[in-house]
Amino acid sequence: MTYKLIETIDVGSGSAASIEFTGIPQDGKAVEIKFSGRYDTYASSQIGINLNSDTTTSNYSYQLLRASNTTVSGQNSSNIYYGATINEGGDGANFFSSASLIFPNYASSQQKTWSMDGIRSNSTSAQTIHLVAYLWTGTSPITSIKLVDPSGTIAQYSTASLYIIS
Amino acid sequence: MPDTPVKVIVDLSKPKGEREQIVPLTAEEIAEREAMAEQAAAEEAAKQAEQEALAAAKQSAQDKLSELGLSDLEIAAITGA
Repeated sequence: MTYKLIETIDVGSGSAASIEFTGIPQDGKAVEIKFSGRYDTYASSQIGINLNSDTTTSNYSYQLLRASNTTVSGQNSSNIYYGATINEGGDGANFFSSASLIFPNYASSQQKTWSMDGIRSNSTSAQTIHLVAYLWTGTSPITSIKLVDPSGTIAQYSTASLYIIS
Repeated sequence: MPDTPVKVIVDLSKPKGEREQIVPLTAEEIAEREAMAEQAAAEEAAKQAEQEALAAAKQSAQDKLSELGLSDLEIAAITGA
């Protein structure tokens, strides 16, 4: 088994509304994305995910387990723009969240299940952990994955790294 | 931050060093973001309401246990609070 870093992106001074990996090699068993970042404005705080430019909300559904400070809760819906909570402009400037996304069998012709775990902490009032399981009903191989901020922009020094597991 | 939001596109089919493009959003993409923001805000509001309800229910349960005579330590032991 190999675990290969394909590319790492660092967001520059202009910030970014989204980071999209396209032309994903199709010769692996799974794709993993490691994200370290924050929003530079006060946003809805979720990092949204979009696959193959599919913007049909009903094609995505999720189940999540959330621990917010000492409160544990769950949620489910169909929404392509709801992901793990990450640090945003209301948090201290040096707080960057981390999230990990795994897409097994991304090159198959089946519907895709994938997962995300993410952590937001500003060490004072907001510590949130998300574990999210997704279903995307698309049967095409995943060739592009977009990380998107629905309400603001992804801040400078945020990074996204794509790995292929084969 | 530029007036027009930009997106970072990383084309992995290209050689290293040639993959990254920084592209201004189109008007359609900006409109899509606004729709995304509304949907995300609705989800966030639902989440906030649920958390507030859970917190209130938890406090109510703890208060009732206290009225029954349980100590704070006993309440914490059975609720994990």
